[in-house]
Amino acid sequence: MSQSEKNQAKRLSEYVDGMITRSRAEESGPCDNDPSLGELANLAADLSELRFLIPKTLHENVLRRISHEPQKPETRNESSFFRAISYFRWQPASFHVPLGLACTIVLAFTVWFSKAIPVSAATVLARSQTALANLVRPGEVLHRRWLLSSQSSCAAAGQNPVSRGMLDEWLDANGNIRSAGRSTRADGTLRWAYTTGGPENRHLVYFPPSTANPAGLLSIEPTVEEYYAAIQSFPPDRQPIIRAYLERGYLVEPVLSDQQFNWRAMTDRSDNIEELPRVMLTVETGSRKDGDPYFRVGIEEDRRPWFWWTAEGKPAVWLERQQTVRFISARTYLSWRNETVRTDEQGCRLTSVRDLVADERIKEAAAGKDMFALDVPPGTRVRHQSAADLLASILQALDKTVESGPRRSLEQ
Amino acid sequence: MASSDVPLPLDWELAKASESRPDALRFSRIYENSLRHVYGFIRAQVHDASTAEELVGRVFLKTYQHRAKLPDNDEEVLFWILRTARTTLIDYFRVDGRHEAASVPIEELAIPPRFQGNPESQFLENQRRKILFQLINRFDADTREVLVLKFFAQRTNREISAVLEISEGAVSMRLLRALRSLRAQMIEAGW
Repeated sequence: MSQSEKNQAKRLSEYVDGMITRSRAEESGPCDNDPSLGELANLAADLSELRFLIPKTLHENVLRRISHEPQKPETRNESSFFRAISYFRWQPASFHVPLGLACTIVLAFTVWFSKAIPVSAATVLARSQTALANLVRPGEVLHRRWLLSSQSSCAAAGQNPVSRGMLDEWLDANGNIRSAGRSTRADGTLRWAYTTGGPENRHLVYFPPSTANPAGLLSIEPTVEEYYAAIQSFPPDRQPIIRAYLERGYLVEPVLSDQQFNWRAMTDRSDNIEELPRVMLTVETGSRKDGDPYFRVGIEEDRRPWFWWTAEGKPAVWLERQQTVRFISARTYLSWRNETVRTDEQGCRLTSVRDLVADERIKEAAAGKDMFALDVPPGTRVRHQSAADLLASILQALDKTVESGPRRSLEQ
Repeated sequence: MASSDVPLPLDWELAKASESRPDALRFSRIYENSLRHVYGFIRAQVHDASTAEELVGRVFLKTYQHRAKLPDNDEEVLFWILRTARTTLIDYFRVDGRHEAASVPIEELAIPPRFQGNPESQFLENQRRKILFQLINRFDADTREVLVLKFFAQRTNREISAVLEISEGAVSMRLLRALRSLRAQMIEAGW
């Protein structure tokens, strides 16, 4: 390393530091130029302009983590641990044998108990969410196919109480996660389809023609920002209920079920809201026939609002009690079976089971079509749905007593 | 899920909490001051945005857990956080066994104001930044760390030397050699 190289390194550093300091102070304009630096100075200026956009989900991620921390900061002096370590380090070798034995016994107990109660339900759900988010690489699409079966306790005369079908879901992770899904009946007819790839990343939900909607319905859903902005249209004392509803993530749950609802359930802090009792979580462990360990996570919701978008008027909203059990692989942290019991206000029960039958990563280019585009027939009724209308209907439903609630079919 | 520089949800939550908790208010300020630097430092070195998000989450969780013991001076706190980010990244590479070159879609990079509104120069600038980014990722870890701390975390040489625990002279020399090499490679690539 020559002296002239050292000098040039120093001058370059002073130049770049000047630029960095000005940039941090949000001042603009060039720094004092040093002609001897030549093109290196221009290159440094270009590099100092490289900035990443910060994903919005990052803030939710950080919030999710810190919301489980104790409110009082930890004040234990951690250096005592290191002092203890350094103390043992200087003891004679004869001291290490009983110490090692003691440690082995403690470790064995720890492992034993950690097998019995491995992690909390919240941790399992959080890992499940992370696993799914990290499962697909750019250029790939994750396809998961579920077999659905459900049985209603209140089927009308002539109606089959048992129904079967299939749900195909696609996810990609090219920077932002997109998803799409199609639910079909056993005879192959479409029940509904959705995509998160609408304009401004809006969710689009398509319902084919039915008695209620002879022209079919394409619902263009409000954005998250629109939902939060709509809160302001409610009286201040009602706003916490709306906010708790939004934060619980029911609006995204049918779309990104494994991804979004899991951590929403954990970070739910609506303990004091009578209208929306807290979601209860439990966890147990088990092994599949092939020996693969799994977690059985129970999710119990006493009052859960459900809704359907309509072609005219306000959305249809009703309340249910819902008990869900998710079977989550302890190796991949992904669900492979969901069991749900939904009970409506009149006591009708719908028992549903969802089993994962295909789980594959496919190259997006090889898929042959855009999985995230909805195939909507011409003439379909298109409706931009209103955030305020939905939230007003939700609030109305939550305010109603059980006795005055309308009877609704669970299976739509 | 669009990107933004405005951390609304967390600010909102912490603002609520801060009414009764001064430590939450301080954490909110630290988060706001350091997020851009920490995210840049990590994102520039990992394969994708979701991994960066996960690791940045770990860094701020550690910061939150240690909030009572953080230095009083906000600049020193930033050193602490960057050192934590560095060890978190090293742990990730070691434990997860991953050390794939970062891949940054152009949409993840902010466009400098002087290029906004001119599609042609914006396109050329995007291409140039893409090449620059790819070349940075071909450097060895020691050199890359200096470049990333300098340009993505916006640290001065003195600050980089404190984070990496090397002399300021070593930082200057690594920077000079990295920029020379980068310049030569850019010329070779036709830029």
